[in-house]
Amino acid sequence: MTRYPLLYARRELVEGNGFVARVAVSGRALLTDEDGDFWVEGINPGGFAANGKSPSEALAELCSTFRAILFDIAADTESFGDFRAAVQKFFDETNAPALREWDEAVQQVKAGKLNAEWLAKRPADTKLGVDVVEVRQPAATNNELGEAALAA
Amino acid sequence: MLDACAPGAVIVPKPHHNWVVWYGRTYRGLPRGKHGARQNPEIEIGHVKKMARFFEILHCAKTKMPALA
Repeated sequence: MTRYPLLYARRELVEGNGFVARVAVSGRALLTDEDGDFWVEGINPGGFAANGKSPSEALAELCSTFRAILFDIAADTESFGDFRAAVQKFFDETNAPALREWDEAVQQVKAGKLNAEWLAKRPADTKLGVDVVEVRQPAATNNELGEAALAA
Repeated sequence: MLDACAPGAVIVPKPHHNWVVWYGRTYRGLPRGKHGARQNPEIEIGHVKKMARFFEILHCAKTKMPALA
């Protein structure tokens, strides 16, 4: 099995009960090649995973799953404040076993023993976090495509 | 498996996934199965394995579900 330490960024717009929220996440995940079946496990946020027949398919599925979880959280909360708190809790639930392997994989990348040509590299200590903002004045300038990178 | 390895765990159906809550932590990514809201859907074993890993009960889970090994 080969494990790749990933950093990713996503921005999603979510409708909740009486509010619209923009969720911007800078997260980390572990991509594992399990004999041609690719799995991605969220680390922060943790508690979800996705798979595919290629790295890009698995990553696309992870993003889709992430969005669906935000929808589940929105359906479960009655106010913007509750939603923001629940999303923060989701982000903070670290996947500890995956994090240990992520750290090991970062060391392999730094040592030049692991690479992923299809991904750009970003520093492993890139700031992580989730920002949840209530949207009151929508603007096209807030649109942003997601990205993924190899943590190095 | 959850009864044996994560006693007290609760499965909470949500619109898009089943959430599994145990010991103050929540696994939010368990698919609801091909037919959505069935009570006992067939879940891809890989997702169950990732959930067991998240809860750090994989060793126990493997003894209860040989398919996870």
